[in-house]
Amino acid sequence: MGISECHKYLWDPELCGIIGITALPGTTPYSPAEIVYRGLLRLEYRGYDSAGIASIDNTRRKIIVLKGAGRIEYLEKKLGFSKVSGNTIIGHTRWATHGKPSDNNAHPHTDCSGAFAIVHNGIIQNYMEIKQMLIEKGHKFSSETDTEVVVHLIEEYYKKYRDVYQAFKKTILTLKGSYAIALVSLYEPEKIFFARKDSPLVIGIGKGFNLLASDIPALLEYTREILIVHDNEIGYITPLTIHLENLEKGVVDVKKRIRTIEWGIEDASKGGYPHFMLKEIHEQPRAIRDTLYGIQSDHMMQKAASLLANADKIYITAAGTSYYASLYYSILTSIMAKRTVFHFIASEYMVFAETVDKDDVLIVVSQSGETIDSLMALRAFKKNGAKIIAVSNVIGSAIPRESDIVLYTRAGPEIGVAATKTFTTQTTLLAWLAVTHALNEGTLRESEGKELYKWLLNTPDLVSKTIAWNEHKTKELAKWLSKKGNTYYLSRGIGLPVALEGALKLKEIAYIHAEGYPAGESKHGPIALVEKDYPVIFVIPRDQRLVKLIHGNIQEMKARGATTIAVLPDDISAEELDLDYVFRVPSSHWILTPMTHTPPLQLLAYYTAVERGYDPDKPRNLAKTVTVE
Amino acid sequence: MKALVLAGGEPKNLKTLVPPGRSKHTLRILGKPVIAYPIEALSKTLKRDIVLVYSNFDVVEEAKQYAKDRIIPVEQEKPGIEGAILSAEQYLRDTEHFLLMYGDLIIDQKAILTLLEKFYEEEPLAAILTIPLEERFASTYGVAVVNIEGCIEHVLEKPKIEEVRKLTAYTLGGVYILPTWAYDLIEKYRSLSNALNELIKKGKVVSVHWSGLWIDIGYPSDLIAASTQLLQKLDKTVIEDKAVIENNVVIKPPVYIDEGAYIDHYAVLKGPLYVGKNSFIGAHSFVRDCSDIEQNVRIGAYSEVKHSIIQPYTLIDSFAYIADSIIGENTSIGSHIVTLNVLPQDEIPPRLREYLVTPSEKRKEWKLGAIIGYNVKISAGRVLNPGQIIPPNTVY
Repeated sequence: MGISECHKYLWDPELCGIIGITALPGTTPYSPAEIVYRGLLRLEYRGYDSAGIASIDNTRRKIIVLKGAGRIEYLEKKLGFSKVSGNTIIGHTRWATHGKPSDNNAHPHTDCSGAFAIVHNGIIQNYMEIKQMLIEKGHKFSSETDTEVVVHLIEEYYKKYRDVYQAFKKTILTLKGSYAIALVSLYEPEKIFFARKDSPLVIGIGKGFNLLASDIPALLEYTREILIVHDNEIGYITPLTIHLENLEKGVVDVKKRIRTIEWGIEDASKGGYPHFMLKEIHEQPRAIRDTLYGIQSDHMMQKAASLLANADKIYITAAGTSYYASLYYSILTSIMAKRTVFHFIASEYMVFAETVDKDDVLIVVSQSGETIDSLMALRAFKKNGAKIIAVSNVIGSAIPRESDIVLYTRAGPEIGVAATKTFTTQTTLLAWLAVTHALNEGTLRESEGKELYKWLLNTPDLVSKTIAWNEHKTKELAKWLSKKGNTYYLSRGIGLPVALEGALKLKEIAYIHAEGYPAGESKHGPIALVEKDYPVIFVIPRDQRLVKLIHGNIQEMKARGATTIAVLPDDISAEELDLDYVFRVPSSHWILTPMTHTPPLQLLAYYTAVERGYDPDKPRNLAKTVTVE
Repeated sequence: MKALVLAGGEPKNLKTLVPPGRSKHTLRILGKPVIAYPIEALSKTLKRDIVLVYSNFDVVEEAKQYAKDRIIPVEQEKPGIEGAILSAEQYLRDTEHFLLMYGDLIIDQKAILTLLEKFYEEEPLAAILTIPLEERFASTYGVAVVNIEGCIEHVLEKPKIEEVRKLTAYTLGGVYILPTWAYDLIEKYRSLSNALNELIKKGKVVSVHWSGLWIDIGYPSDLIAASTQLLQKLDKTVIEDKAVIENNVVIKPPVYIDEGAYIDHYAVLKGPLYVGKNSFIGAHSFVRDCSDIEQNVRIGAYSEVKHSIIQPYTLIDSFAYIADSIIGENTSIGSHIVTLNVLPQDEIPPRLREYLVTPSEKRKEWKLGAIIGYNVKISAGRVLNPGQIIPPNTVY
């Protein structure tokens, strides 16, 4: 995705992490390299597809740069971050939003002379023009990133001013965009230069050393004295001093800005939440908003829709939660574009791969882009000539790389093993795709399409409400649910994938057996298990026909003594529905069912797991990305 | 950063349990006064002084036990929350920001930590702790309407439920970090929520979400809710010095038996539960279900205490059945007393935090025993109705 489209979507300042240290020898509890390595580990939650460090070597004649794609522990084994020599070091952990993760794209970036190295969080909007100008002056670039442009610009200005700080300042004044930047240079081997605009940067003051990082917890192990850098401020740190300047108002009196943190590192929380999963549930409105921005400025969406309209057969595959997103897409496409979509679980690909030819299209949905079952399916289909559309959250991962068209969700890194924000962003994106496809097929009028797009754009606000309205109630119900051993999640039509996903969440993190079923099917067998106080959770979409049918199912369950619970749009009366417990969600259009109805089920699973004493971020027996068949 | 804790005012709905001249913050939960919880949480997190606004001095003496000489007591001059805050003005002039907290909050230390961390990282104008919204308490505590970035758009003091149902709103959690100049706004607008709304106009006020332990002590049933939630976090048995437990006592862990307590023969203790200092549990008694028995309480032989809280120095004679009840201090209860505890469907006392028996909103079984005041004498053989209140200083 080009940078020109990039600046239209709101970039999340929480992505990517920076750490830096400049120290007098022997003043630090561990070696500076070890401190940078530990800092990177602490910052990994901000992004983890590539990382790197740059150190002013002890001879002061070169900058050692170690970087690459991959998780930090892997890179440590491969490159030895914690063993590098030097007392002035900067480090970076990256979550790619443009420019795929690769050894070349990883930060730090250096200039032609190798005298400067820089790390950067953010987006430089005018980088293309600057790059053009620099290329004309003979600069050579080795990556696609905007960051690399900044360091070459500094090199260029240094030729003129012969002073690093001046060159740095002039460069910052030239940039348009958002950034937190840290720079080291052979010409000032003890200094780390920094600048901040719209992305966090904190200085930690030690005895004989100073630190720089993207958040406070990364520094707390070494010092309690911190200084928060404000927007439009630049400066540099040395082992013993801090120079801080506001670009408009001049030099800042550092003493007035230093604060003492009074709490210890063991106490520091995960971004303000007890678990990453709860944080990610609460992040859904923003993740969906960012995904919508990305969709609107991406011409790939149209290309994908045309491809689907011209396809003979459409298949969609995924594993786990992504499979339920795929099921939702299949139902939606059937209703709106009047096309049949063959949905199958990725590990079962062999059953379908031989029926495929060059007129067919396969959509592969994978948050990580590395799920081996889905990748195998992709390759088998591709071999037989099918075109591939990928839906993923990780730029440049394997599945997008091997696809013809890629549509990215913009949920940011998801640390909790159980998928939350990646599911609702996937369903948002797939809904948009289904509508666009239906418009292409002519089965939706333009006015209808516009209406649906408007509903989709409303999703972030609706999801905030769903979460706020239900958090307390899910906490309450969790106390009761935590004592149960079995549950059913039932729904019909567009609500069915949500019921399946709700059941999966409870299994994954609360270890309570839960089964999702089409409500009409339960009387053909499963109802035999239902007895007094058996929990049955209904997902009721905003569709009168479905409400009527589900009502019948609720009565069936009630007749057998079940405790009936429902997720219900707030303009549907619960009075006659014979429900014991209701989670109200804002009413909207039934197309938004996964986005409005899933969060209460996520919260329910989360609080049930916590009530039972489990860690929702690290379910037993599960890995975040399954790379074995 | 200095802290300002509000522990003044009248006991209002706790009059049954709090003698005149005493603060509700001195009622006991798990062996500690209510005020201990916010004070401990603060003193573990902040290193500077804690300004404590009081109406009755007893709360100051209690607070000092928990904050290592860092309490600056200030008597509340004018009524109301605003009056309490304004009383402390001169002690906060030397800081840029201060942390304001209600003294009746039973809260985890992590909540304060989370608030501070967010405040330091984002450097907003102010930060307010918010908790998940429970509709029926919306107008008790006030709500904050929050936008997608986590910033507060405005604060509603007493919203109607229909209003709140349309918004993304979270309940105000009673812990704030405010700039000292907010004092001028509080003086001018005479109400904390109006002052907050003015503050929001001037800059970024962030909502810091807290989903953990949070109970404010305003009604008798809040005491049980607090002790229950705290006891549910007890993960191992603690038996303090000089506690004596006869060797045929049956204990299902975890239980907390405080110093000098005596558990007589054949008693059954099903944890989690707390038995206070120097208390006595009579032979063949049965204590269960998150019961909280404070110091110097005597439970006579063959009694059952279930999910109740009993304040210090109260004596209960043999064969008593105490369930879902709240009993004040210095009370004397005769033998064979029965506290009925299943409330009729249409009688839901205010602020009863439900003890979830079934989740059915239609067939809820609200359980509440008796609320017995301080200095009460109840004769033998009494049967008390669910929710019955015995006023203090009475003979029944």
